[in-house]
Amino acid sequence: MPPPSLVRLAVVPEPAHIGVVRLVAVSMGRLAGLDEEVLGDVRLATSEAVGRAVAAHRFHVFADAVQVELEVVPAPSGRLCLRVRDCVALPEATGRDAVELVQKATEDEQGNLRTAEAAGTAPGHRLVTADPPSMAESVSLIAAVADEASVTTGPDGTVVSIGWRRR
Amino acid sequence: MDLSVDTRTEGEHTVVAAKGEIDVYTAPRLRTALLDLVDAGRYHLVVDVEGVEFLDSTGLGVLVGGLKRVRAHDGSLQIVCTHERLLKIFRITGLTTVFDIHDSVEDAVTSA
Repeated sequence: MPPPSLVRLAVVPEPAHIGVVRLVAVSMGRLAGLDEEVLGDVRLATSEAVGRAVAAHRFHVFADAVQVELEVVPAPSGRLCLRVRDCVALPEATGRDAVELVQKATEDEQGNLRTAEAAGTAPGHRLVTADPPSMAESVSLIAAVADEASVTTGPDGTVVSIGWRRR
Repeated sequence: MDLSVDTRTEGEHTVVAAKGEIDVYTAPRLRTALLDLVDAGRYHLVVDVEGVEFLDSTGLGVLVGGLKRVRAHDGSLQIVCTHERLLKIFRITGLTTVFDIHDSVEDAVTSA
């Protein structure tokens, strides 16, 4: 089996760069042999995760780069793992609701879509109202389009990990 | 990786045709276009995303924000979209129940 390949990107927190990371992620997904529909999911989840991290850095006026890792196990086994690391400690993170949501979604096998729906009616979440979507919506989308999604947090920041397997 | 936004009038409706990618970087352009129309008294909007190759939650946020503004004037914001990859995002977020989504601009302007 070919060894995994790893690409690391240091992304200055500028919105214009999010599209560049999407392109790299899709290229790595092709190496993993993911099909076109899944590559669409990779684009979306990458945009959501990197966009969230860039927004968190900008909100806190952090000039530090957001760290992105893309690890590929090439086809035929075919796996892609995206890790997005920001420097915003959870107590101050703008995505706190989002973190709770993704944890809930990934704990429950059928939770992805139900989380998005439930969040629309749960106190404190307003996914399906005529208000602009919160950060929670971003992470609900990630959980719905990935095979695996998890969040780890600590004093040094937050890491969102997202994985896809070749079907 | 860019977004163009063109507007045209069709009767009482204003059609906003977006082409390209809508993300954190480009979404402010669409937001500005929608706000300008509302400021100009155009409250029945049809946003045509048939030319949109990519849309994330930032773009959804702009559409929801636009809907909220036109509703404040008893207006409407309808979507024209047939691409499955975009419809999937509306479904995941539950927004298919918030927006009227049509197959064509003609359908949208005649439905109201």
